[in-house]
Amino acid sequence: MRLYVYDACALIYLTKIKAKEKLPLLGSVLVSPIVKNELIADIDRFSDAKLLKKNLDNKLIEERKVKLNSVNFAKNLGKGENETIVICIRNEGIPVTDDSQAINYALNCGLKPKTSELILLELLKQQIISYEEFQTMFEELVHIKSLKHEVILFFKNKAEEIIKK
Amino acid sequence: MTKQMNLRLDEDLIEEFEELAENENLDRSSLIKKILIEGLRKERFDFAIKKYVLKEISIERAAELAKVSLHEFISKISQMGIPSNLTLEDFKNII
Repeated sequence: MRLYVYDACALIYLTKIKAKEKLPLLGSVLVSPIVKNELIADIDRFSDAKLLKKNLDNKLIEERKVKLNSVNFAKNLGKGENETIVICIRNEGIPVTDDSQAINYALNCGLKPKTSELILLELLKQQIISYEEFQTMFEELVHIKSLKHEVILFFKNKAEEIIKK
Repeated sequence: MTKQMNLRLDEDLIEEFEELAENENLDRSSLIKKILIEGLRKERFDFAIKKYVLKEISIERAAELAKVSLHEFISKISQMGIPSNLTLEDFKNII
C-alpha cells in the first residue's frame, strides 16, 4: 500500500474541497506530529479543523512520529513541511504538499511529490471519483487557491486525457 | 512582565493620541499599547505575505512568521486573492 504523507496545507485544501474522505482509497494518509498540531490549531474558529480532528480521532488520518535534525532542515520551509519530507525519505513515502518551495526541496531530496491537483487527477484516474466530481472539486480548488489561468487549463486538459482513455 | 520603553514622538502625534484616547475613554498608555499590538500583528503578517509572494519562504513558514495558524493564514490569503505560489513549471516537473 502506498504511503502518502500530507503536509497541513494540502490536507486543509483537500478538506475544503471535500476530497479528504476519498484519500484512504489511494493509500495510507499519514501526517507528522507537527502537521497534526497545525491541522487542529484554532479549532474553535475553523470548521475544517474540527473535521480534521474527527479524522485524526478515528484514524482516517494517522500520525507518524519523526525526529528532525539540523542536517535535513530547510529554513525556508515550516517545521511541518520539513517533518513531512523526512518521513518520506525514511519510509519511501509520497509527500503531498501545495507549496512550491516544499516541492522543490522534496525533488532535491529525490522524492516524487504531489499536490492537491495531482491527487485529484489520481482519484479520477483510479475511478474513485467521477469526472463530474473532479470538475466540482477542481473548481473549488481554483477558487480557494486563486490558481493561475495556465494552471487551470493544464489540469483540465490532463483530466480530459484521462477520461478519453 | 512588562518593561519600560521610552520613545520620542512629534508633538502633533502626541496630541493625536491624546485626542483619540479621550474619545475612546482610554488612558494614553493603553491606547498606544493597543495600537502597537495591532500594528505589530499587521506588520508581521504583511512581512510574511511579502516573503511568501516573493517565493522566499513556504506557506507554512509564512504562517509561522506571521504567528498565526495555517488555517488563518490560508483563509486570509484566499480572501485577499493571493495566488498559490505553484507555477505551471512546478506542476510540469512533478507530473
